[in-house]
Amino acid sequence: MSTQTPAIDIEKLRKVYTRGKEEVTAIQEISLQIPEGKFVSIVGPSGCGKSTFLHIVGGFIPKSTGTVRIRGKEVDKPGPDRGMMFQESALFPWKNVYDNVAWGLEVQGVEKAKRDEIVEHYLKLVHLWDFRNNLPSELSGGMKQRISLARVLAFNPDVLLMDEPFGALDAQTREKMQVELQRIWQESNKSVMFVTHDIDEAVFLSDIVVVFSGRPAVIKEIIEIDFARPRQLDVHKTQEFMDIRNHIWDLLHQEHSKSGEDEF
Amino acid sequence: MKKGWNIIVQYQSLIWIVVAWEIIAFMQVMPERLFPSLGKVVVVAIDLISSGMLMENLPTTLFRVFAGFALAAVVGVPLGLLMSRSAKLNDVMQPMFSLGYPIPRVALYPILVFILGLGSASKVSLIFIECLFPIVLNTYYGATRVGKIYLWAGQNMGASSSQIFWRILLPATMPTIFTGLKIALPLAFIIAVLTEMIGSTVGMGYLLSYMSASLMQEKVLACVLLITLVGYLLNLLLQVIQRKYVFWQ
Repeated sequence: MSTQTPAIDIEKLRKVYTRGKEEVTAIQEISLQIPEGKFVSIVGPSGCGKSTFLHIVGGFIPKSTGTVRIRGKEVDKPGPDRGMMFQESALFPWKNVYDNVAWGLEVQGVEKAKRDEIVEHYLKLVHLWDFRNNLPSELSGGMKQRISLARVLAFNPDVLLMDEPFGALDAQTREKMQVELQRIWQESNKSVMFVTHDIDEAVFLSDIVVVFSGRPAVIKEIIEIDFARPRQLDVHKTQEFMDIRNHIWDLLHQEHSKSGEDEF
Repeated sequence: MKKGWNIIVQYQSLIWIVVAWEIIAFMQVMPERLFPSLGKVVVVAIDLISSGMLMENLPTTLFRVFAGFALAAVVGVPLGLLMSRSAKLNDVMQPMFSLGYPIPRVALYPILVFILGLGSASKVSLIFIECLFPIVLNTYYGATRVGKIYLWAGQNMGASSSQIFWRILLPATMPTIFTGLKIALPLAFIIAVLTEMIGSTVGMGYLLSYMSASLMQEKVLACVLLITLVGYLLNLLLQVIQRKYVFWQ
């Protein structure tokens, strides 16, 4: 594969909803390339359409115009080339942890012995092999999201799409999960598109932070973050981190004042 | 000891009824012919079992109940699920089920007898129709409320539409499917007994009307007691199955 082909290539993507007779533009026009192996976060004011954007890339909702290419191949339906992680756990409550992780492999027809090997590998990677026989309802929110990550990684997608995966977790668990995600991401070497409203989370995790404007969404700025990896939590305390953080905060708050009260 | 006491407290209404019944019977408020003591009723019920009368009639009734109920489940569950997935199918089917739900469908029985005769066919058909309503409506209702996130996760993992239908939508809807089944099963039993009372030569409903003809109240009550017991056991069976299949709730 050519190293020039971006992992995710989005060209002139536009999304217009029809609500009754009214047309609402959610995404004005977005073009974005995500290079192989990079961790890219998307931040934007709430309601700006960043989740919609990710769901379109995932193929779950249709776009109005534009193209989405994954490693050069155009896509418009969901598929296992893009592993999607949601804010709430999408684990099947009627399956135990092991069967949840094995599910994708099973429907794709991966044979049992190979399946067992892969499931064991990823459950050990997220340090939850001991919980393989538990039901999702018996696990904490953070554990559920680690299982979700293992489930997504197990079917070996080309890219990971993550829709505020730690949004429902408490602050401490969230920080632990960020460190965990960095470790797992570095081992798996996948390209990631990560949507969040948490600026600290975006700066801590990402190689590139993409700042969206308020609705209708356009890209406001693309910021490269080059702290050495693996990053420790105390990177938060460095002046450079705070400068980037404040800069993004300013960008988002210009948007808040512009878009008015309806965003609350 | 504590547990035994809890059970007594839980079923106390039943105990009060029995006590009140026995007091009325003992004081002979009504003639014994019309109001026999429950002890006598139980003796007659045991006699019905040991004489083989129960086993002559119960299997036919159970067959009708299970045939109609199973048919309704096999048709109703996929139909309800499909209606949740296809707006077109729902547009066609929904009015039929919503409008048909409140009308007394037993009124169809004479028509079914006219077409299918007085045997099991007309009875199983009516049980089927009666059970279809709660099963379809509950399945549909439950399926429309399955989080789209589960279906998306399935699509994301490369599952085919039929895999998503049978392996995500069906199990995710299972809790409300059981709500429908639990409404349908007693209905099936009621309709079986009722139609057997109207016209039959075998079955629990037939046994009941036969006993009524004898004008002996304890025999009628013994029959009612057995029917109640069977109905209770049927529900218990469904609960056991539910616990096995909806264990995650």
